[in-house]
Amino acid sequence: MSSWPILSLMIFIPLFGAFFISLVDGEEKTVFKNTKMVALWTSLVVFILSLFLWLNFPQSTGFHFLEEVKLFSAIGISYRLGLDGISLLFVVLSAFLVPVCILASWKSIKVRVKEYMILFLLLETLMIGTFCALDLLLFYIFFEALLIPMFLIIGIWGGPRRIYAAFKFFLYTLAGSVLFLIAIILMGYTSGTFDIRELLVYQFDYQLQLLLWPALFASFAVKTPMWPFHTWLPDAHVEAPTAGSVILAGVLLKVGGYGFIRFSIPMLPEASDYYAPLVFTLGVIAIIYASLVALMQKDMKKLIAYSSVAHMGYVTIGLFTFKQEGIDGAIIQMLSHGLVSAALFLCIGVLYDRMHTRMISDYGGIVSNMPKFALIFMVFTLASVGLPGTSGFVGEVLVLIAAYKVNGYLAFTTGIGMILGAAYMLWLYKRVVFGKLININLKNITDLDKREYVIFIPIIVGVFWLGIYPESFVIEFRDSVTNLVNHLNTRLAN
Amino acid sequence: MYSLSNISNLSIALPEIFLSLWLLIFIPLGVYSGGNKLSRQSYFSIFSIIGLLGTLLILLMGDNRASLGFYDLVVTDRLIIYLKALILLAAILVLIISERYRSIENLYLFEYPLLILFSILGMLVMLSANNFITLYLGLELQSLALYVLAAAKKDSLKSSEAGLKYFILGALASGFFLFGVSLLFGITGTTSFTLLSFNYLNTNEVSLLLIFSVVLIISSIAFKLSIAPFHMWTPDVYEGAPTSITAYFAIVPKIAAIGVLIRILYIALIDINFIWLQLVLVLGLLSIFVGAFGALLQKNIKRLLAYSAISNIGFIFLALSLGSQLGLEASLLYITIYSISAIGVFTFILSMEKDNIMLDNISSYAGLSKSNPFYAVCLSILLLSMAGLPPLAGFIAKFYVFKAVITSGYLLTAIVGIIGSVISAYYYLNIIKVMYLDDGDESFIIESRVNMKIILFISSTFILSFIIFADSIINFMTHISRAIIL
Repeated sequence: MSSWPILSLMIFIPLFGAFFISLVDGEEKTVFKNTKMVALWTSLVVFILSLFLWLNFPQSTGFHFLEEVKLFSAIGISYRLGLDGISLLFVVLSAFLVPVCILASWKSIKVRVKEYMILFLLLETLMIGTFCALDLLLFYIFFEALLIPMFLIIGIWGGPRRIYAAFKFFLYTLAGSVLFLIAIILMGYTSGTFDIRELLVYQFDYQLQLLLWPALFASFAVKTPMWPFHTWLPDAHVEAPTAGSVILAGVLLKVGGYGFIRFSIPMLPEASDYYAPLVFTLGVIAIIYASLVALMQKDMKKLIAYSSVAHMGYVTIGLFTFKQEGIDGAIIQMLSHGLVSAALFLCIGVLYDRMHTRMISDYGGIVSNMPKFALIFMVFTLASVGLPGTSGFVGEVLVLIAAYKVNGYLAFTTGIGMILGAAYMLWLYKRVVFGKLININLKNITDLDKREYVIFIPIIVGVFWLGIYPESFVIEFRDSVTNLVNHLNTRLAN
Repeated sequence: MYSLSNISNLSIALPEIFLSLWLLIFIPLGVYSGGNKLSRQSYFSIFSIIGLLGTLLILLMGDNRASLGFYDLVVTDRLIIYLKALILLAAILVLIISERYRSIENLYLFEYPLLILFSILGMLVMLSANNFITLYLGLELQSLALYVLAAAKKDSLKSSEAGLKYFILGALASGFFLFGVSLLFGITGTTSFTLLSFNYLNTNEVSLLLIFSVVLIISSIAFKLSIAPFHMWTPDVYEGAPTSITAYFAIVPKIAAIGVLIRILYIALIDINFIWLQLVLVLGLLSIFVGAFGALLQKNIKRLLAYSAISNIGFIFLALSLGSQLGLEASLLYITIYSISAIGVFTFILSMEKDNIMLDNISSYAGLSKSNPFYAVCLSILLLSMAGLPPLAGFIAKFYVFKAVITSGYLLTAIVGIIGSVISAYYYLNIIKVMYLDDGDESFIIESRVNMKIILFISSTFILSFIIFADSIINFMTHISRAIIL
């Protein structure tokens, strides 16, 4: 079985499904039903494949499931795929969230269902491709192409200011990534290869590193997003349809963090060390500033969007501590945020589907009519706050430990963010779920249906599993991270 | 010095000779068989397409080794043959996609295909030229035919304005060209490319006059290519000319002018490249920005494409300004991909017709993704490729240009160029936005011919799947660009 090109299968099955959907024809109702079914099953097959990968993943460092086809030698691009412990879990996360998104849009998407499902499957292809790529240019191709389906998803099925948001998202990210492209060309032609495995051990000249690092940073900082490059995120989240927000928060933001851990830190270690104080400063500002802004939001989606900025601040701080705990914590934090923020957006989606408003002031007291929903929402709120036992706790604690090892003040300011995080999330929960039921429309609100349970339960399982027994996840990437930390220590010692 | 075989080397001019003879048959045929009748139009088109196909066949059957003929006035090599073949193919495709437009706009003139053939003949001569005088002959032949074509819609004020404007400015540029060549002749005593490259340009004696003549020659070619700051005529002519002629302008003469520029810069003036390297670089960057900013607020698709052409040719200038083999390859790859995507885009524009009125305004494409998904998808692919998004062909073309620029050590130039390319992404995206995100008339169905649909499909599929066979195409570009040894 190991000889199967399983990564290529995971990349091309959604594409094939999308092609299949484009052939579906007939009466509108049957078309809608069939496209949804095809999309769901395709994404489930990919998810099962990703689980298969996880179960069969060898317990050794380095890249596995390698595939290589020469694409064109004149430029030096090859179709190289492979996974190591770090990228494996991101692939599983992407493959997990796509069927969830398709289920979440089952009823809320009523127009142009066919195109919607095609774009989601295309998005899945590109996301998995981004995490599997072992060629710098191939990575860039997937990374950049991700913009197109996301642009259309926000632009077609989004809210009233969708066009503004879609353009802002697209141009912001594009501007960041073209600098990345220049850096790629420079890196490729100085080292003579685009193979990520070779680049990971290649030693760039120090002066060149100081030039390359900001170019990479520009791209990943916009994607992550770090303060002050985050302004596209609240707009994109508010205007995107629920599933679009889920993918955006769940996977696309992780691409930025993945970029740091895969490219900036191991390939340019000296420059990363040089610029680390900058990253810490921006990270701390992001955590405190975004939390304070989140406190004052009137729109629930905007609040969660700002909380994403704060949570990704932990990730960047953790990564740039260059400590085992910090990087482990950052990866767990990314996975946890992928689940929790996705779930929170889904919760907001549940409310929005029923009431067609996202304003906090329109809600209050829904616990009496939606007790089950209130419970699920509570779980995710607490996970976002970082309650011990949930996934949010593990990541934040590890990052704090690593931050303390670097600098006490850093740990202190980062810790303040945790308190602020609890404040805005619990206050949100209080205003939405508890209190008096004032809005008359809320009297007839119905609790979760079966489909929504199917969406939430796997995420809850994931959140607790990651919170209570993180070892089962950490074991996959621990050796890779240890390797990375050793690599950093030897390079920085010289 | 000249052997007999050198004089009578007819075979290298065989395509041009064939096309001239074909034209000699065409003129009386058109005049005496009711050239302006509706029923005859398609025959004339087919007749001219057969003529072009015959020329192409003769061209490809011929010897592709580098050789000179006619007292060194005419030359051929792999690069020239490739560019000629590209011109002929593009012209055939443009003729095919213009058929429907001509029937809608009542452009029933047999002179229309006739003039196109004349301009093609001019371009072939331009590319064959190994001497500034031969080059001038070809240049004027194609330009005069193009001036008339721009004004082909006789009853339209805008078309006449376009023709006149193009003529006056074009004549001025031709004057510049002649003046530059005469100065060069005064300095060196020759107009032959080969002689100029070998003996006559002594790099130790760079006079102001020499710089002056080089600048004049380059600016006149830059005018033909609508490079900033010689681009002012382009949007007006593109908008005013009949759309099928705009399609022709945007593709075919550009290929020829790029070919000529390559021959002038890389053969005749290669010894004094320190004069033109910087000049071409600045013109290229300027065009990228003029094209990017100029297109931002355009409402008319033809004007927008005029600016898009300015910016795309700017990238080719950027590649050529390196004066290296890699730059040459990059420019050849770029012009090939540009031509293919431009053909696709113009096929789309020429299909956009509602109640016998052509839709030129971008806002009229609203909601096209619902009413005509096939067209919307194809155009989106082509536009995203022009915007340089991976993995489409346009990305690879731009990547190759930037690779050449960066490996030559011009890091800052690359950054500036890439910023220009990001700005231009905005207006391509804007068209996609109109098609996908705006609401429009859902009952609007494009009725176009099957052959146009096929051309649109093939060009967008090519752009989409380019990455799969990019390797062999790039190797081919390397192979043909070796014809010019730097």
